[in-house]
Amino acid sequence: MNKMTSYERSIAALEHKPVDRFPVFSLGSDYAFYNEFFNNIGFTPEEVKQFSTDGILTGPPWAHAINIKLGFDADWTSLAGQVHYDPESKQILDTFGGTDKVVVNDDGTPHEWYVRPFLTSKEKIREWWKLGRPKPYMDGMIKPKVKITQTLIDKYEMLSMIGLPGPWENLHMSIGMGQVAKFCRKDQKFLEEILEKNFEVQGKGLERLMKIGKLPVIMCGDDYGFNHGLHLPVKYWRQFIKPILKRYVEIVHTYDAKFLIHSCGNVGEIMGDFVELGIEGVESLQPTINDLPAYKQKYGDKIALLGTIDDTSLLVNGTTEHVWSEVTNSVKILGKGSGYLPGATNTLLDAKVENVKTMIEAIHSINPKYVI
Amino acid sequence: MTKLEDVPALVYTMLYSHKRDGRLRKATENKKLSILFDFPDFPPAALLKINNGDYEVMAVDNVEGISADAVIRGNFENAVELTRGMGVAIKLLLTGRVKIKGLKSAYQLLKILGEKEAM
Repeated sequence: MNKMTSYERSIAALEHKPVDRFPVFSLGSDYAFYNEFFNNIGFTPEEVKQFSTDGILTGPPWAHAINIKLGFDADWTSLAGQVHYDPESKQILDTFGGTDKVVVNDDGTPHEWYVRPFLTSKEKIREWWKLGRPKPYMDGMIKPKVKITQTLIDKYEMLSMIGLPGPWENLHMSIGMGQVAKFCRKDQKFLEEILEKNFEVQGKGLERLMKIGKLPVIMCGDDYGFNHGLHLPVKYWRQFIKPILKRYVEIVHTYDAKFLIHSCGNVGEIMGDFVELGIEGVESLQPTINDLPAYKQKYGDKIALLGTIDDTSLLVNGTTEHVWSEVTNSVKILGKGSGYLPGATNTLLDAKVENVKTMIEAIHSINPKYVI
Repeated sequence: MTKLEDVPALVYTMLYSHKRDGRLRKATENKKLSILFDFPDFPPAALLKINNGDYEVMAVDNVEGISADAVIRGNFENAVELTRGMGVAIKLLLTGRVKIKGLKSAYQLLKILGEKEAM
């Protein structure tokens, strides 16, 4: 088989077509892994100049240049929405009502993370709406990301995707799981109103992204699962979240692009729903909490599997021998019939660089022709 | 343990990848620059000091007597609007909702960060 570019093999894998080798996917690198990379590998001055000129020398968690240097075939970035500040509680807020915090640890490593919901009562939610929030994505936020993504596709011939947060994350991170549970049972109309308000912003943002970017693949992040199952009973997921997710998928498909979903946790209960919605790929698929061989057997010809290599223990604590063995085993099982883009199940946090390199080499070592 | 939080942490994070990948060294070789970010509604203030390819950020509880090449001052509530783009930034400056003293030095930081990232 002729050698394919990273872009070609990633698209072929998503379309369940033959590939010259399995494309490796990266969800991104947080600061700890970013440091590991620079302490162990880093860039040459020529690379810095080139990546900088091309405008792709971005920092965590969307460190595209690191993905290129390490040999990933596909990567991802998420569109950030508007930011607000509440002077009374002194908290930074995302436009849907989640609180974010930025800290720098004693060792000099920064961390940016979601902290808690801000809209902790019905009154607070209504007040939020009175302030005109959530606010829309501006073209000035979309265009720079699109430019980077197009450079990665056109010049570096890799598949880079953009997405925005899905309906579930926006909901529970802003109003909290407790209120979601309460509204599911006692005030479904209000819950639907919140979801609709959020979708007004997300749907328009996605439309603008598709119009401006003309991108081939969109991946939205929307963590649905704990280790042992969904965050909310599947009947509520189907009643409230699935219809909104369907609208995301429809927008993307209108533009002849593919729609992928990233979800941490055990998603076994809704794999069939993803297929029914026409989603082309599902990402994360932590192998320790999902029955991946069963997913492959049942849905593998209908939906591509991405991720699947454990980043919580294997890439952090494993030896390179252990990583090689686990990764090659996974590829042999999950790579059958294409439709597979292996990679770490989440943003690289404290993974060892040598383990990530070994993971990529192990994936490359398997000839798809012999995975039967 | 946490060394910095909030505005000082944001300022520190803004330059972090530039330091690690070598762009800061290249842009500020043999140069010194200090900028105070003072948002009284979101204390403490942050004093950024760039010196010959390296930088440090200090949390400042009392800005009186602190001298810097540039001072960016305003309400943080207004300042976060800067993330919406150049049009909003100009409006905030023209209406005085965010004030910059030492515009030339502030522009130097903008150049280091790269216009797109700073906006």
